[in-house]
Amino acid sequence: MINLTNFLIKKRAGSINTKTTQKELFWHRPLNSGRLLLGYLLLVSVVALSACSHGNLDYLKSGAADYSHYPEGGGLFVSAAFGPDGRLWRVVPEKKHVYVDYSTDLGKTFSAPVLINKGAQHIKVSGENRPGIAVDRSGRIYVIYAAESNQPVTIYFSVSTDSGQSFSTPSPLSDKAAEANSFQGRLALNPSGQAYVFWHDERNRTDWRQPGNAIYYTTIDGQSGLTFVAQKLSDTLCDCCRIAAAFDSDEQPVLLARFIYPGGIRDHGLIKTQADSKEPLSWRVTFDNWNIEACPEHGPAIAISDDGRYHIAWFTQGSVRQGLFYANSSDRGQHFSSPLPFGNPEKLPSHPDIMAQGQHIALTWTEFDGAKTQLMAMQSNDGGQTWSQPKTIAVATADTDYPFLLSNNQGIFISWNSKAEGYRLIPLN
Amino acid sequence: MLLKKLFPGLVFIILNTFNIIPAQADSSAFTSGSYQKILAANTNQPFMLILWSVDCSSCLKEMTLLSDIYKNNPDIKMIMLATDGISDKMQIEQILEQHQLAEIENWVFADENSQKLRFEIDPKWYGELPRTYFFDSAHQRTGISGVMSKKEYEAMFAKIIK
Repeated sequence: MINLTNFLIKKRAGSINTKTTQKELFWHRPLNSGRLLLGYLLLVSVVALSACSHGNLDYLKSGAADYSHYPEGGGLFVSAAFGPDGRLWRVVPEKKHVYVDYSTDLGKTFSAPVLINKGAQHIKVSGENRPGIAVDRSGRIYVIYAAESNQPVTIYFSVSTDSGQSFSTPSPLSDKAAEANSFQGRLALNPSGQAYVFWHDERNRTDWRQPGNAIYYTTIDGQSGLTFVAQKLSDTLCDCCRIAAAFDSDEQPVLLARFIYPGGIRDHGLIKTQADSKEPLSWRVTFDNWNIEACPEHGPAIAISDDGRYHIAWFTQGSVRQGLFYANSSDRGQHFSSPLPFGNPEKLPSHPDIMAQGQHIALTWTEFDGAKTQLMAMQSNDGGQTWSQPKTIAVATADTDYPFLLSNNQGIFISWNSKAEGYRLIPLN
Repeated sequence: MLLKKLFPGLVFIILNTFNIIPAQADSSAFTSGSYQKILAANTNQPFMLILWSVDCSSCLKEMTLLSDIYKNNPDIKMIMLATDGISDKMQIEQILEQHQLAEIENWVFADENSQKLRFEIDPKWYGELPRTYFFDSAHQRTGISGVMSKKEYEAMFAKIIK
């Protein structure tokens, strides 16, 4: 009985201000003895806060050709990044372990995987709550992933300073990891190679029934003692959508995320950090009026081109518009062009990613025709003013991961993983 | 000594009296074609199909209300469908049992291509949860995404039962 009661709690616990929450949990239930006892059992447990899609990695499948050397056949939700030497690095989570491997032939074959966490953990992963990997100019490899700890979900961090031969023992990234859930981490390098991680954090939550998380972030110094000091960027982040990040020409991070605006509206806003420890700026940029209390699990994408133009792509089911949209801004996000719909509305266009290289902008997303998932792309050569016809780049017959745009000196690629077809790195042109 | 012997039994009786030991849930595997089977099994009958997931905080928030609705609306058939995957069967059943929803018909996604299952239910649905479908007796349906209030449920019941 106690196990049953604790189950839900364990799965998504994260105790902050437990007094308020416990009291509310207790007294909002009808007062009969059974309920009181149940309430008491809840009281002695850790209190549940909410967060979506930490994921339990159910999507493992052995047999996909390029994961056959993985103990459990790899996982669906992988991330990849090019290193300075042109190698493609990949982080691959399984149920209990996370691995890194690399490819020297643009994703056709991969090296033997290197184990990141020597001790088994319950790895948490989903499309939104993904592992991350980045390689800086000196070849240092940074990895983040989420796993259960004494909290249901905690972001762990590991670094390799010997070109991926070995990795540091993973440690929690959040300075409050022992007290509150941290998840949906977004690892990104600024143009100088400084590593940043942004994540959903529940440390400020006081009422589990009220939606909305905080965004915290930290920078990582790969040389020194890895002392992470987390800084808060914003509140009222929609629980279930991952954060998108890019860097402005002044190297300040610019984030695009789904927020909860007054009236329960789930639209998007930008956040920009400022130099000299000034308060971060945050403002709303999409006005689709999506009034919903649900888990859309459909985060946005942002890219900033060399000329400082912001390019964004997002999904909405708002009353104003529905589907995937693109817009750009030439005044650092103060004003955006009118939202341009893209993707076939009859085929559930989903999970966009965007890349900007000068005037060349690339968009990728997936569509579904009832049986197969199509990987789609379209491009602009004039900074997002006009676009090519959408093109089907690849097809998958079972569940797929989200697509991501990557580039090296040979061009732009789409990194795409799928259950049946395995991992593919597909040249855009 | 006597008390020691009796204690487990007493605890059992107390827990049962207050309806704390829930009935056992048993999830059926939802595969390609299952949606049509559900429709066929409920011909000429209004019903409500609730799609949810163990990883959806909004869905879990709604469980207490659903439990309440189940108890107070015996004339509305409720069917639950978890989109998690068959490996989550035990967690799904535990959550249903916790919320006294064990007795109702419940299903769990069981296909390599979960997108295909979603599409069979509703080609316009992007997968956001919770997602609730209200079917009238002619199986004209209304799909609603997101957490609903008791009042909104009741309004939909009035619509499908008439």
